Amino acid sequence: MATSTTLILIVGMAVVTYLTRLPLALLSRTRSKLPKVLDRVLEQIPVAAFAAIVFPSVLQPNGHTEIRASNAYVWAALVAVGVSIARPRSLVWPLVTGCTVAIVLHEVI
Amino acid sequence: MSGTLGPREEVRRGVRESIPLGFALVPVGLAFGYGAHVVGLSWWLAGLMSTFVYGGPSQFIATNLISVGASVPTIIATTFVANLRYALFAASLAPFLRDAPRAKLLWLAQGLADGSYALSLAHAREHPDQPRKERFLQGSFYVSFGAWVSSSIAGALIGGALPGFLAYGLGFATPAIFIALLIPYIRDARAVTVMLVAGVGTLLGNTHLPTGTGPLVAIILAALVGGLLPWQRRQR
Repeated sequence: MATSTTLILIVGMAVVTYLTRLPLALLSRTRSKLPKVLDRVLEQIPVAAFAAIVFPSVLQPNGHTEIRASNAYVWAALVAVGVSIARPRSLVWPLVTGCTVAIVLHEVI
Repeated sequence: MSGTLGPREEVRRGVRESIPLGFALVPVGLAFGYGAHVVGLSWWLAGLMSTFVYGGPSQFIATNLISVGASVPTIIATTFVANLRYALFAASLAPFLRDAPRAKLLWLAQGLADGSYALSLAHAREHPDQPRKERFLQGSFYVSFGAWVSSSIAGALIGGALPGFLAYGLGFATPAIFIALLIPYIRDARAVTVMLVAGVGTLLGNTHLPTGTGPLVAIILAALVGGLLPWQRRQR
């Protein structure tokens, strides 16, 4: 892809992506209360969004589905879940233990 | 929690609490930069994309589409769909930012990415009395943005410099961070259901739906299931 084409691409991608973020400013002053139903739907967004990151990054690490014991990320994820339950609010502990398990098992499996 | 914090301290808290996230972004940024280099983007174009698009998954999709010769409008449209989840994040975070100056939110909106959204929402829920909660997002944005842009450029310049086992292990950093962010929410049957619908839905969507749409469709479906089904309300 030529440099000028790539620049046009980046500008286009940046504009449409910014548009998806703009509601942060547009919705912050909304005085009217949201309908309760919509409020309950929005309450589910964090869980849904984090699961939509975790599941594929663990079970489709190379783009195709690998639900099997030889996928070290599966074991690393189980450890990270256990550590997250034992140490709620810590990001560092699941990060360090999970990555260590992945590295070690990568050498073993 | 104890008393509220002043402006500087609140930004600093956002910085401090986002350092693990910044670390987790480095291997991902390196991988993006390397992928961009492989499809022919110079380091400064990779850096520009990370600066102005600033949306990890959509950038990976873009490099894949460039490599298969997709047209510019196709890539831009796919980017829009892949990043529409930010609108959902914005709608869920905006009610906590009522006292923030709107002009500031116009630029700070650029900081709304998966990690900073997750941390800022958790922070807002834990500190309901803290005024000007956008300052935490601001601090988180600094760390996340710095890590993402610099590691993208580094990845394009030094390529696959990490030894294989290390790259593999650090590749788990992102799932590790989001597992840690997800677990505290999993308290009842509703949360478990939303998690499974979104997670399994994304797995299926990635293999069966058009590029970039899987996570968006799964997130919306899961949020509707969780929000509309007549769950028994549990007091928290």
